Amino acid sequence: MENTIDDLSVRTETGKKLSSPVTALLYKSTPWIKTVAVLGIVMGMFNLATSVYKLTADMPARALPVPGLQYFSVFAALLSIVSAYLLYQYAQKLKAYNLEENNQILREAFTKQRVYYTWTGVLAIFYVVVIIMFIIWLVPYAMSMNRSVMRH
Amino acid sequence: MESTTPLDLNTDPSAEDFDQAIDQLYRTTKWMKFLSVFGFIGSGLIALFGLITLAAPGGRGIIMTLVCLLVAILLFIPCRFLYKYARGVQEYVESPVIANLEEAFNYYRIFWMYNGIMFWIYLALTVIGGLVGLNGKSFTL
Repeated sequence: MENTIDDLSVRTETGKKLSSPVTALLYKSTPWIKTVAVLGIVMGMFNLATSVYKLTADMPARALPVPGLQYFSVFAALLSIVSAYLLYQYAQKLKAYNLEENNQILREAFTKQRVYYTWTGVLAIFYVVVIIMFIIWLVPYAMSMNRSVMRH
Repeated sequence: MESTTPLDLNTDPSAEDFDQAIDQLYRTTKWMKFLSVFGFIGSGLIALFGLITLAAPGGRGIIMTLVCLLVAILLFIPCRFLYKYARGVQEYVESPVIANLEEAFNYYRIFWMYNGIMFWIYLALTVIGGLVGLNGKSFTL
């Protein structure tokens, strides 16, 4: 039966009793964090492989609306792998805390969490800047395309 | 009597380490709030885009609107959990009551569970989409 939050006697898979509901909640969150991290790494690797494949394949330059877009997709895949790896490191620390229930490990885990969220936040700002630049570039491009279509 | 440090009941009762852990967590809440507000704005913009496409001629407009609204809702939900988690941690620091931290970590658990499930669904849809795409190509060949 699933333990509730108020149940103080939540046990780990090794049969160890967890001391508090907060610890139990952290314990229950860990497999989900690890799932997201591992799937993130796998998908990042897949995206990297497809991006590199597209880069090496002969693609007509005109097919891309923005010059250098093919390099950017490789870069974006690498950034997503870094994100997933930071999350994985945090999940590992959290797992160690679940086993030992040592506050020093908890501090290290929360430090890893801070690194992960800071990285994600900076990445979000970076992508907004990229999207704005893309729009700035795309509007004149779309207008020039429209003019060339009208001419023909 | 209610304890104010729920985690120092552990094998390592170092209150200093616990305080530092909470300090790290508190410092993270600013980024968490930033990301959740970012998500709220993003989901709002997606919903707005969906409503704008409603004006498009033909049946595609309605489908696009529904897809956009669905994506906006799916994006809004985890951002709300993340915001509540950050808010809960801040409330705990302001008034150190275990209930605040328990509530925060419950939202935290739901946030990661939601993300995990969504990731699996996304992966399944990607695989199905890939297979359908390959099938479609083999038919055309």
